[in-house]
Amino acid sequence: MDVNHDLEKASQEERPQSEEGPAIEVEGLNLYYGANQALKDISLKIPHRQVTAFIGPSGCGKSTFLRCFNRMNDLLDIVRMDGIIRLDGMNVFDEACDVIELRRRVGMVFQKSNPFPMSIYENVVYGLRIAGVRDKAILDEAVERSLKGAALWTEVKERLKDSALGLSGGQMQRLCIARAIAVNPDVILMDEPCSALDPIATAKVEELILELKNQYTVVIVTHNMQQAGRVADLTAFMYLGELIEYDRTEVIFTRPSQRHTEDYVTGRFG
Amino acid sequence: MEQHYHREIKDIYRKVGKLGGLVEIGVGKALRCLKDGDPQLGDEVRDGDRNIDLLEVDIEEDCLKVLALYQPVARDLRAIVTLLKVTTILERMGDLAENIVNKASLVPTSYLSESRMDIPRMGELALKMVHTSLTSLLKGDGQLAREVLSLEKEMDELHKYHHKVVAEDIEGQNIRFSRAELGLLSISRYLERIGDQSVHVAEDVIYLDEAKIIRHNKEI
Repeated sequence: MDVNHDLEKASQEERPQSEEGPAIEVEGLNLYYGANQALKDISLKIPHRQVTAFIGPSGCGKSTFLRCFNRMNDLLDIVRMDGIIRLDGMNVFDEACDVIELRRRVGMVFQKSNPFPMSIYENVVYGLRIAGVRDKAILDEAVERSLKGAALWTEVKERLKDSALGLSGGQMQRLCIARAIAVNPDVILMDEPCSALDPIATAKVEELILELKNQYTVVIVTHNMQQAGRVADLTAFMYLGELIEYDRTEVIFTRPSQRHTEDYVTGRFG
Repeated sequence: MEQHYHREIKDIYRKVGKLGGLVEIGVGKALRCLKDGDPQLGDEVRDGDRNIDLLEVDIEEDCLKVLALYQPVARDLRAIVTLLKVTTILERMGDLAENIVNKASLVPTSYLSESRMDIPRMGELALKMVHTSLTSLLKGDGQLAREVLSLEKEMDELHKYHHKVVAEDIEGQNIRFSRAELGLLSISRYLERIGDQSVHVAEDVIYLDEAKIIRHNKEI
């Protein structure tokens, strides 16, 4: 199986010239929490404007892996890493890499929605204000564009000055997605974005993910295999810190090549 | 770790095994009915077909339940899809066994050995193909299923030869046994169809075991 070849072929057919090559390329990534190795020699390529899902049992390293893409693991002193992660060809571990800019380009949405205790409007423009944008017209435009992009505009356009904490769980999660896309990222990372949502809110976020991939590269960690099946173009199965199998989602869920993957997706694990 | 729905899939396998057994018995009895001219066997085949029809519906409902409630994937998904398809095929085989006994009344028992048609050999082949395809299904053994594919050619050639026999008899105006001859030709066709249906079961078993769809490309 040469999935990387397939990915390159598929994405070359659709993407503009500026998006030649993978969005994210990982080579020989190892990560240690103190003496424990959490990620073992991982290599893979994530194509532009596709949804890639990481699945695997708890503790397999999928969230840790996701957090490497925008160097969120730097915040933990005990973490040590080696290997390469290239974002559009740039090694994110290079000294020259500006971590603030990296985190603008690689946005993140977490398991539990985390709106700031301020208005809906201020939540969306938070990243832009930090970046020094003051022009109200630009901020207004960004709020409308981002909330429309997060499929939330029609629900909140009449109450942008209301507290974000008054929204429902599903609306809060979509607000966090709006906040992530307001700063115009290239990649959106999602760590179990629907695990705290009811089925209707989950369906809305899943529809949104499918919309988002027209403009962004989306990488999602999920425990819900049906969700991976519904939204992801590619799925990576991880186990005990290793990347066991990475292929098109329909292959992973109909004819996986590895016994471990088969056992996991069919629920025979453990 | 076995989950609840894995036990449900095992139960469906058991029912399909039972359905396959009824079909195999039905085909065997239909051939004996033809050979011995025993109308009692014909009635038993017809009764058996009614049980086959009921079991087919029961299995289909079980498969739909597993699909709707558990959304199986990978080998489990291939198993349910295969069992659903095979169940329909087995029901058709039951109908073909009934067709054989319906035509058997046209054929005097002595004519079976007098005719130039080799129906007994076709019967042997059909029973072997049914038995092997069912065994391969219950074992999930694609390699064994491929043995069924290798028997198809002889079955097809026999059926073509039987057409030729009838054509020659009509051309030679040998009409003494025309009703029996036409009855045997129909039975030849039903046996050839049973062989085809066994091949379809075998192809589905290969899909189950090897995740390859070989239906239109047996070279895979």
